[in-house]
Amino acid sequence: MTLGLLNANPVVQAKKERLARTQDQHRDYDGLDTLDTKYVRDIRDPEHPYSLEQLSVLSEDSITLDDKLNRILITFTPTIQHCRMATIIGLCLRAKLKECLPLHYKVDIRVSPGSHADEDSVNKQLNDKERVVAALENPNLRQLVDECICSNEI
Amino acid sequence: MRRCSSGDNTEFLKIEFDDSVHKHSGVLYRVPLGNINRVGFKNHRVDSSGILIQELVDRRHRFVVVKPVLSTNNPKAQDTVVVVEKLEPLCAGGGWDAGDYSNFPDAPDAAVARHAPAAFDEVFVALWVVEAADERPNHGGGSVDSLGYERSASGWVRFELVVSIDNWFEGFVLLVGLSVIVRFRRDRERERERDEGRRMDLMEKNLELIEVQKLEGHTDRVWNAAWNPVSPILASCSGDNSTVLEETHTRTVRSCSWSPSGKLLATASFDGTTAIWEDLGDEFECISTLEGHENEVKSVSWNASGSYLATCSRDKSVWIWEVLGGNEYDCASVLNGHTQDVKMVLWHPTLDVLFSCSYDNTIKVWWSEDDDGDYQCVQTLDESTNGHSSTVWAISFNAAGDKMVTCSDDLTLKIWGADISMMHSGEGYAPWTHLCTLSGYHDRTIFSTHWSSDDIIASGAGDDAIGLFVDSKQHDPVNGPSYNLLLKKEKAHEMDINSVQWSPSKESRLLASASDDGMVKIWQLETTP
Repeated sequence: MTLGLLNANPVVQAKKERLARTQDQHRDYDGLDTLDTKYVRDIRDPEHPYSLEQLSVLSEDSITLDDKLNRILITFTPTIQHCRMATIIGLCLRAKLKECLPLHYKVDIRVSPGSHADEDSVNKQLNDKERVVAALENPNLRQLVDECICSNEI
Repeated sequence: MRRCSSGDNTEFLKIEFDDSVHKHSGVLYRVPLGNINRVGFKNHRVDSSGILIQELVDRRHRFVVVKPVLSTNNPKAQDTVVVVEKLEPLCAGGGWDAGDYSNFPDAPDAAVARHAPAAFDEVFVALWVVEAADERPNHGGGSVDSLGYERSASGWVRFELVVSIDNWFEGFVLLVGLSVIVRFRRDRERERERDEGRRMDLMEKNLELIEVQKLEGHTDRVWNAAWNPVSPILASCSGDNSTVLEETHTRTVRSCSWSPSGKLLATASFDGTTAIWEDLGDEFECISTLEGHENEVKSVSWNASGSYLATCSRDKSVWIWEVLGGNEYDCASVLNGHTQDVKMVLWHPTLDVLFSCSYDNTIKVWWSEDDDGDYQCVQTLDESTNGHSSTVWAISFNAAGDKMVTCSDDLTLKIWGADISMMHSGEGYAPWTHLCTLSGYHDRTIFSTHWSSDDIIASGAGDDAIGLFVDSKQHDPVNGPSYNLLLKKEKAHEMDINSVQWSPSKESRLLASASDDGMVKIWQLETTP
């Protein structure tokens, strides 16, 4: 029974093989782009018991890093055009990255162009710092976000 | 005026009677000009048991002037003469009672409001206190001089002029019991020289923004920093919610604003309330909490006279609150019109006109035509009127109140102007028009902007930089005024700058900046040697 899930039949990808990390790749933030996907791809989708990577919401191409300016752009693809969870996914991304990245990194989050009916509106909300902070102070939203980002996966 | 010698062979200035000096005026002699930053009055009363009581006048909103004492008509004179015209001493004879005071007259030339420094600067040249010509100067110890003596039934009553050195507060406290009328004259020549001097200072010399102080202590981002208008205090609000505020606000305090008197601080919080705090000296006490908004309150602003408060919220509304006596605040108006989250609200510096800016990319102007408290939106500045193309985060006015600057997520600052003399003379609403757009200076959202009293615009943005801009003074009849970048301080902070604010002090060009890195920094704009 699919109670109210908008996208009842998501397409699920097999989880990508985790390459064994060598010593070099761990250390500091030079190879940040590959490390980043590690942080975010296991974020659980708010509606389905799968990770964002498995649902192809995020892929390795999702992250663009500007090392000199310490800026990151993340692009994600909601599973359907009218995904109501788009802003939640965005919040999850922000919350997770805040935990993992050095504080001075600037993060911009957008939906992939053309992937969402309210693309501009979602993008604007996700990149309004004040709105994000206020949303994450909302106990209900915070709880949902915490459930999504505290994955059991390694 | 002429120079005289006193008994110890020192020279001093003496005031002669003439038409412009009332015989009851008082004078203070021989105080070096450079030492004077503060002038006040103390009232010495003798109570019924013959005990001399010293008291300072209860200031309330009775500030008269906001300038140090200036020199006489002899520009080389080191002496200063402080003149207050028409000083009427209390009558001798009869005892003094608590209620035995003359009221401060409400004459228009007396009440240049402390909170309207722009109007004040237009007219103030000198404030003189002149004793009757036949009075000798009476020197008290150090910095005190007496204006004169009055004899009452219970003993001598002495009026003292207190001069003290105070780096911050420049103003007068009026003596209770004396009715005082202060006259101002406009000295255009001096003003021109002063302005020229400052402009040359800005454009021809090398300027630097030097960090003079770093205030650490917050454990979370700092959203806002606000200078107290009358004393050297800086209030800052942070996501970390300090112990005192925590009892009142349950979520982030987003912004704070001092009342014009500097006695009250209003804080706007994401918990949907606005709290009013009173400065009790060693601590702040929450005297009132304003509720009503449906969700996060983003900004709060006091009007020029401190009689109204405005708040705005993500619920898209702007609320106007009336300041009643006894810590009472009443909701006077709920203004709807914005279609999205309202980011900031600000009263005009001299008129009771309210401005708000929003996530809906517009700036709205609210005004009550009939002065009956019925505020309406009289203008919306949007993209069709050369407005911003994304969220507008902040507004600031110049000292005169005829120009304003706004900043936005669209990475620009915009300058607007209006003919407010029309509004001052009651001819109805004067609309704001776009004058200039400053773009290409920041490459991330500009969160804050502030216009200093000596015409420097500061901006603080998500690129961690502070920008300073000045009028290029090139009057282009076609394109209107233009503004140049004075300097850009890159990496002023390690993270986004959320707020910039110039200090109200005229002594030095101090700027406070608050950032996501949890720090508040104070900068001084100086010329490099």
